[in-house]
Amino acid sequence: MKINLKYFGLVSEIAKTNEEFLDIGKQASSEDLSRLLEEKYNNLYEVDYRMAINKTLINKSVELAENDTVAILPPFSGG
Amino acid sequence: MSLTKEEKNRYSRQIQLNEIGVDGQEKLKKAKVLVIGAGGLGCPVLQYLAAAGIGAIGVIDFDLVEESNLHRQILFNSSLIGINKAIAAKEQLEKLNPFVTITAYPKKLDYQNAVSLFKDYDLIIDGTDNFATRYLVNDASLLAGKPFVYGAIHRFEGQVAVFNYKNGPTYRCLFPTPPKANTIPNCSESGVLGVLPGIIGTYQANEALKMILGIGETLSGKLMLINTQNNSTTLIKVDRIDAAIKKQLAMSISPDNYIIDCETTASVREITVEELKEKLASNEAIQFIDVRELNELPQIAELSGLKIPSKQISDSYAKISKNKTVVIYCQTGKRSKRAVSFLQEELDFNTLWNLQGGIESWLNSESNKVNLIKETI
Repeated sequence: MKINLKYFGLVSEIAKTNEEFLDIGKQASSEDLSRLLEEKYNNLYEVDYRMAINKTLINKSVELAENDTVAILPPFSGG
Repeated sequence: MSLTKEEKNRYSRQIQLNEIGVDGQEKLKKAKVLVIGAGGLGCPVLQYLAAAGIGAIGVIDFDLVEESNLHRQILFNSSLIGINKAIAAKEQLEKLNPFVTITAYPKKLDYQNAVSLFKDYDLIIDGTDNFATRYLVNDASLLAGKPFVYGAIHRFEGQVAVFNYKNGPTYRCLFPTPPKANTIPNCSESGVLGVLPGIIGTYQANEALKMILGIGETLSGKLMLINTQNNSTTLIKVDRIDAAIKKQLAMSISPDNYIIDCETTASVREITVEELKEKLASNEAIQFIDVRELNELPQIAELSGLKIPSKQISDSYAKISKNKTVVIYCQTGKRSKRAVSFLQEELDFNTLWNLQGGIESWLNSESNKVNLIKETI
């Protein structure tokens, strides 16, 4: 199952890209994806990010589907 | 509140728009808007709102105009360096538009003055530059029953949204609690090109004007993300979480809730790899705590001790010594710093050290490189 990841702010700095496509196996939840990303990008664990799937912020873990777009959103503080 | 002939002339180009007209202009004149912070975001907000004829504008800022502000805070100029920003803003805005009333509050927004100040206005604009004040603005807006327009920037990106408006979500529905200390660049600015806060602040002013005029669609329930490097914009749907809001309303505003993040970890004691080696060489008894996940590598024999992944530290701290020297480490020193800060602040541990740079520094240190080479031979 291929998904499209979009990174913002500090997360894109950690991943060193704004976007990537990942194959995450046959079945995976957003929580599984979090774990996978935190293994792939060590410092991601430090960031209090939220996830949006297909442009909707999620408030609990949900099952991902083929071609989902997942945005990883850290808070911004600057002004 | 009718308009004078001069006002009708001044605002003629926007009155010309069918969506606004004289009625709309009168709504703007009646409106009272409070801008928190006259910095990168606050300046363009103030300029456009004053120019558009918002009748009463408040601006609160305790800071002074600095030379390094002028590349982005173009409401100010070199002659205002050293002057309080709220006062300087009032002076400039009155020159821009003498038909509006500007009130300057040259002080810090805090948990004692926020709610009562917000009650005097219809709408709040968040132009702050730190999480502590952002959460204060959110919570005080909710308690005072006022909507607020949020804006924030990070390097070349910005976020804009409208919160607490017509039963929409609040900032805490998006980010429930302030991030842990030192995780997001905060007190020290991470650098910014002047146009970015100009763009984001202008979006905030646009949202404010639409809300007052009752036209268009607002960013309530939506987070707008703007990347000025690749010109992409994204809208993310954000739902209102009633439970979170209920909890927020029940919580009184107290100083503990709004500690500036960078102040909390300033006191974390750190030990360098070289200093640690001296302690080891002198046979000092040291308890090591590895706060990495259980499967993280490499494991270092000299640093073996307890393994408590940082997510579990609040449940599993009982085995950590309160009188021995305790050195806490992770891969880079960040998670462990957070753990030390938590143990010190919440649980009164005071013999803790954070291993600066973590395992990576340990592996990079000169004497360890020699050992590593020996092992490979």
